[in-house]
Amino acid sequence: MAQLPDLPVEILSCICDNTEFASLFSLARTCRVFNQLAERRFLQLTKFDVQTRHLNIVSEQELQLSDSKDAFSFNSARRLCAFFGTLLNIESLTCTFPLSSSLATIRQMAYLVQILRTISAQQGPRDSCPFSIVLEFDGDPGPSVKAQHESRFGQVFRSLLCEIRRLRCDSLELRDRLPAFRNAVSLELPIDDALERISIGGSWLFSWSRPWLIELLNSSSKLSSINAKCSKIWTEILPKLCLPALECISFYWYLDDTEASNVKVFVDFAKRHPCLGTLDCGEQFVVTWASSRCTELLSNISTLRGTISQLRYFLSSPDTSLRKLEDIEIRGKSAPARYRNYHSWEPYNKKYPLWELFALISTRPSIVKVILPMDLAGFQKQLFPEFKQGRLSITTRSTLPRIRYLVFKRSLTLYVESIADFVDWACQVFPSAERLEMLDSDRTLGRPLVQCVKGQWPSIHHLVMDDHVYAVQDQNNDND
Amino acid sequence: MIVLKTSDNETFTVERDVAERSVLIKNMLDDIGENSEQAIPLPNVNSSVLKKVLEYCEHHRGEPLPAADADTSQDDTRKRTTDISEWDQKFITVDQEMLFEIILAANYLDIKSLLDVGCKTVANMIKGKTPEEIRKLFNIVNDFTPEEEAQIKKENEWAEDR
Repeated sequence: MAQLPDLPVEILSCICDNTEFASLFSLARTCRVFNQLAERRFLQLTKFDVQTRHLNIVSEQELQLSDSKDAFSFNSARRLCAFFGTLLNIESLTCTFPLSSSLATIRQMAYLVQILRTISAQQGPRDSCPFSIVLEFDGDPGPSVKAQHESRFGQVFRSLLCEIRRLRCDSLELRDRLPAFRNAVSLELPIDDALERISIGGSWLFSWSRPWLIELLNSSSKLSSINAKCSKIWTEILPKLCLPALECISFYWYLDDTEASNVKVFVDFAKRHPCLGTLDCGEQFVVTWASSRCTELLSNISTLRGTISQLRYFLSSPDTSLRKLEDIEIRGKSAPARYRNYHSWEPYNKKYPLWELFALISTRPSIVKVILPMDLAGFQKQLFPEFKQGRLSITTRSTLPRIRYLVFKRSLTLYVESIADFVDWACQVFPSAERLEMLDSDRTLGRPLVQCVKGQWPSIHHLVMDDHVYAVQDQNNDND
Repeated sequence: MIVLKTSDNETFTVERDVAERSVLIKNMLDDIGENSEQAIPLPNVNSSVLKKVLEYCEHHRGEPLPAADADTSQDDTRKRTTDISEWDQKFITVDQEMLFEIILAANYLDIKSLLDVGCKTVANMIKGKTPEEIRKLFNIVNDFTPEEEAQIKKENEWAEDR
């Protein structure tokens, strides 16, 4: 007696070809043969490329607006799980949770758990393969989890983190607004030795998710890099962190609804984290009168990024501190005006805080690289002209002959008429610089800048305008 | 007239244009020549099935045969219609055993339109059913490992509306 399973594969394939799209998923779940055949048909119909390495999951509404070929709705992405070979090559995933009810968010997170579980199952042990995940919770300020759903929300969120860990995800980005809930139970996460980099958005710092964030970070034993939205809440979080492998911590922008905080919290944090080499202070952390000098020994910091006042604070530490410091990056001001009064531990109207900073840099022989924003307040309109007119003179304290590598960010703001003044000033402050890099620059300024540097600044060998390299001291040689 | 001999040694005498709905028979006739009176053996088809197949061929005689490259010329990514004409639907309303025998015979005899009708019928039977219902209907053995089963499980506990 002929039965369906006895039919040749080409006939079963023909049956799949005639099966409506929605029924392919049920068919795929009946047996292995139909799983393969239904997958082939699904791939034909969706044009999904099994070689794809990135999966982008968005809401149905966003999907309609998106022209991205790798974008899937939660439902479609979940359907990929019905087949055994669809997620074999995925190495990164971005998931945007739309603004919706907490129940819908719970369901979407459950789908994502299933998708991650499928990736783990299809790809097997992934000891050395990198995997990165971006979780974006859309909406402002984000929905609140209803009391009756809190327990399920907690469970599914924990499962989500556990699946992320099972995948041995090495890079995790948590963006925007996690739905608010009142009772954050302990996640009790096992120790994870895969996560190396984490980026943390604003809402993950709010009270309801803060215990989870601390638990997530403290259970990540190999975490080497944190990049987080700046907030005064970090003054509460940082003392609770213990991250033995942390090498870099940096903060971007700021939460608009918070106040300035004391930069000293970083000193205490750095003292407890001996591997920390890169410290990028957020603008929101300011130097107050009470903490005007750093008195601690920070032995392993090699890269320091901050506002002028923050850098002056750190460089005021004892000479025995910061012995490995090589790179200094001066951050331009982008904080709201209300923070600006806190930016200096000396009276803010002091005219040239940059000069004072250079004087401190000159006492640190290990520093070889300085990064400056070209749009630093008063840099072009005040500093260069005053220097040119002789009202400001270079002293031994403000000359930095040890700097070999000089970078100017946001160089688009350099006016062509200021080039000569800029080079005149820079060649005296940085007389031994060998490489000058102008980032975010106007390429049309390349030639005049090269001519000017060639004539006045003999130490510079290479001028880099974004991706274009000019060999300054070779005759007319440009290299891309 | 053409003589066809089935696996159970029954012979059917049919008009040539009816028999030539089958690409297999058409090619065989081309090979053995116009005037051969030799019965064409069809060892993979029994008499009850051939009777049904010939009924189909008789009804559709004179209709243009699908082009040989019809499969490749069709856009495979397009959703196919599962519509079946009223006569074909009535014709194919048979028990499962006969349905699959007809499909096998259509495949063997290379009668693409009949194969399509058979496959569409099975596809229509699958429509809207759960995996378990499909397994039960067609005697499909679940050969997934527990791990595979867990992987393809449709829902999980949190996704259910409560």
